[in-house]
Amino acid sequence: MKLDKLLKTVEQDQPSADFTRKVMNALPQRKKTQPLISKKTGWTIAAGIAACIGLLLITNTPSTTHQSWMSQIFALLHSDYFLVIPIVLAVSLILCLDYSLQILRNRFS
Amino acid sequence: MTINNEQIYINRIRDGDSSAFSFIVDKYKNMAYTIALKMIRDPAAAEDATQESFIKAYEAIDTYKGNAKFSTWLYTIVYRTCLSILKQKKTLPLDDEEYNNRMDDQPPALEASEQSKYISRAISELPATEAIVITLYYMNGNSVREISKITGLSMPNVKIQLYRARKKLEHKLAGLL
Repeated sequence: MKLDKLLKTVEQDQPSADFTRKVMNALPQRKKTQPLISKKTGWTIAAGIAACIGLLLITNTPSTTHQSWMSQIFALLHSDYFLVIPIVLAVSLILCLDYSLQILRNRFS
Repeated sequence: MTINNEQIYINRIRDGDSSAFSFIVDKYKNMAYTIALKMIRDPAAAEDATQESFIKAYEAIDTYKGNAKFSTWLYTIVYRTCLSILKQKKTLPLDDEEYNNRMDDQPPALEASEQSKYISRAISELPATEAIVITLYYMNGNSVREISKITGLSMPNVKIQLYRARKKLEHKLAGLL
């Protein structure tokens, strides 16, 4: 159709020559908030926690091999090692909060 | 610049490299300005609206998920910004009756560049929604689905707007056809 061809020949309008410069000058500062705990430190902490848990399981297993799995869990709950779990949870919570706050700050700053 | 390169620039902007945004502005400024001009009809105000749209896009770049084309996302911002400006100014888009009153002049013999300007002016004289739909469809090659996303109109409505605009332009540009 001739009208279709004709409409496709129309050139786009152009803003002023210094339009890009004006936009770039008007851009607000984007503040990139860094997390308090770096990614590397985070992974190191996570690896440490995993190692501790692994060690706990290994050291507890031989003394309870003759018990049922339920007994093993109860034995673990009554052991001193069980105190480590709240610490692990607290550290994990801090890591999650740190990254969540960083994302929120970057989004709304 | 391919879409992948575009994504690299978007990622750089997200990482705090604001200079990468100049590539985005250079690539899309003409079409963004064309959309604004077709809606607002005042070159200075259209340029301000385009600038405001780019700044909004820059501030909201983290919300671009990549589900749609970046241009579709950007032109949606331009379209909404212009609508908001028109509402603030309480400027009503040109209605059919007003448009029909402008349909009396037929083009004289025109050279190629003048012809392009004449057609562009004829599009600008259409009611705002029809002008935008025609601009996106023919000048930017957007699909009906993409136009629907940008304008918020349903796909059948976009097709109706296209049909009406074509009919009016056929009449207006009869001398060139």
